[in-house]
Amino acid sequence: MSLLAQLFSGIAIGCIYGLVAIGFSMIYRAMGLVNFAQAEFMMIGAFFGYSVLTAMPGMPFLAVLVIACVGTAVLGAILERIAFRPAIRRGASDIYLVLLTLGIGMVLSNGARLIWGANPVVYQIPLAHDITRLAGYPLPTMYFYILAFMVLLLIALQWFFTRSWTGLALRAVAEDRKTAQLMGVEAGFASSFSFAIASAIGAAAGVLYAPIIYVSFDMGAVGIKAFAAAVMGGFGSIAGAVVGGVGLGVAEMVGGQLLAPEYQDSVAFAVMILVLLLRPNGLIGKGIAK
Amino acid sequence: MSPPTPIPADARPRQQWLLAALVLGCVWILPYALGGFWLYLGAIIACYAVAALGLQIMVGLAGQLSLGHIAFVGIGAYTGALLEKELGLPFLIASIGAALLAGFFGLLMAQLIRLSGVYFKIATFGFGIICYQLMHNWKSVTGGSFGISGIPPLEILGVDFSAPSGMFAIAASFLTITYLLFLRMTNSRVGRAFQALGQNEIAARSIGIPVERYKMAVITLGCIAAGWAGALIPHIYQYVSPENFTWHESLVLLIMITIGGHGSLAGAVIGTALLIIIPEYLRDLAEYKMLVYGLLLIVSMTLLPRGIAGTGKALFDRFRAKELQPVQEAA
Repeated sequence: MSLLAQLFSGIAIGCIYGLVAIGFSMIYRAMGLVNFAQAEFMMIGAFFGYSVLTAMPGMPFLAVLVIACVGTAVLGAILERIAFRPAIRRGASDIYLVLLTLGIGMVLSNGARLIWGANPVVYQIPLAHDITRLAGYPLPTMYFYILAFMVLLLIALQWFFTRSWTGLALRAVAEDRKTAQLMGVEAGFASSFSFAIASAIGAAAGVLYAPIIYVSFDMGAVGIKAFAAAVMGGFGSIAGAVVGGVGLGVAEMVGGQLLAPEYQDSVAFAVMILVLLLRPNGLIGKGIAK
Repeated sequence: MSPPTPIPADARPRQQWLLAALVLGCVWILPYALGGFWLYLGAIIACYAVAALGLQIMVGLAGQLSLGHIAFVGIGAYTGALLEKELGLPFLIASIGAALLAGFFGLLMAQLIRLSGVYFKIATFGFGIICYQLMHNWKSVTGGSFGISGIPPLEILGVDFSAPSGMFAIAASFLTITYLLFLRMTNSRVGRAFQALGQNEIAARSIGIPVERYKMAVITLGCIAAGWAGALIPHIYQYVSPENFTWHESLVLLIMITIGGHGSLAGAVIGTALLIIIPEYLRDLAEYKMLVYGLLLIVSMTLLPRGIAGTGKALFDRFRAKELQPVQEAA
């Protein structure tokens, strides 16, 4: 593979990590919670998409994406309501909340196994096999969609958090929960909403990734690298999540080539630990969710 | 900033020693009384309980959440197996070597504590993943996914302990020693410093506790226990394979100490026993073991936030309070 094509696929995979990482960062900003179930939302989203495609073959990919995102958003909001909010209201400690998210992640991934089975499934859409040539090298067309989606999403998020009332309210709650409440922002709604958006973005990552890999109950394992991405970029920052994700994708591609492909995950986490030792606050400080 | 972690479940020294006697008594007597398969199961429980105790002092006592604890059990298991098989060292020396090497890596990982809360958690998580991949891919040393087999029989000073009853006796001794040492430590000056750390780091710093040094110490201690437990694994299973050390297993250890009771040594043992016995009775559900574990975790987080030991203690205290202070109750 040429360096260019390699770099490009690194960036595309990095965008997937970045998408999941945005979800982590949003929930961390809004609720101060490291949500270890985030990667599982990606997996659930991919399966929702699969169910939609099975029920209605020939559905346009964009529609599948939207339905899966909405479905996962609802699931995320429900989980926030029945599991996290009571725990937070009770004043559960950090460690409990992390364990709670870990438990929810386990239930989601093994629940998916119960519902959709242990065998990986494939999206039956022509898009999955589309190839586009970049400088003479074949690359899955899906990569271009992923990049385009990332750009659109970033623009949308930028607009949402700076122009819309809801976005501003979410930022206010993230900044100072009590004051925001005094100003009439309902903090409970804000955390539900943050969860819903984070889940939807995670689901989008899953649906976009699904055509180039198999969808299976343990694909959330891919999403764990998104942690590394989020951390590298600086936890809690959306820009950081994207930078971390893309950086990780490229580092992994290059590192995997230099060492051996089976060490890809190690490269990801080793790079993360190295970045943290050099810059304990991540590449882009402790940014404010913009 | 989240509120401090709740007070460790068994706070009073005298109660703790009674509880220890009770739990260790059950651990020693029940498998021999029930016999057969229970001896094998008992050995597994005792072995994992040692690792869980190590995690308990890190997480429950000192508030340092590690998401990669099984990696140190793995380091111990591989070190023990290699020392015995390749160098022909006796088991006891190999087990000490395993504990020390795990402790050394624990100390290395502990250097990451200068990362603040969230970052440390995820760094431990990454550490676990890197260890797993090394076990899986460093074929010339670890045997890759085939692992290491042909473990020499368990012998101490020429006495053969390979039979299930002997195996269990060794594992239970390991557990007893670890438990009593940790219990002694919990009630010492150092142990109180660890507790202060777990309750409120800033307050601990303000009363002059060298927070960083204590964090490193508790992490290293926890990892030494994990490595020591790991040395038993090659003998119990007769082989070592990377599949015993996936990050799910780290989760299982965390669930053990959480269900048992945050900060409670007895709870760690009880939780370990539960989480190892339950799947044996859910053989048909083996595939959904993790689902059951996850549900258990969520339920215990929402219904029994203090775990079995903590809830037991709360009930016991209420009962005593009623007995001793009827006048105040009435008023």
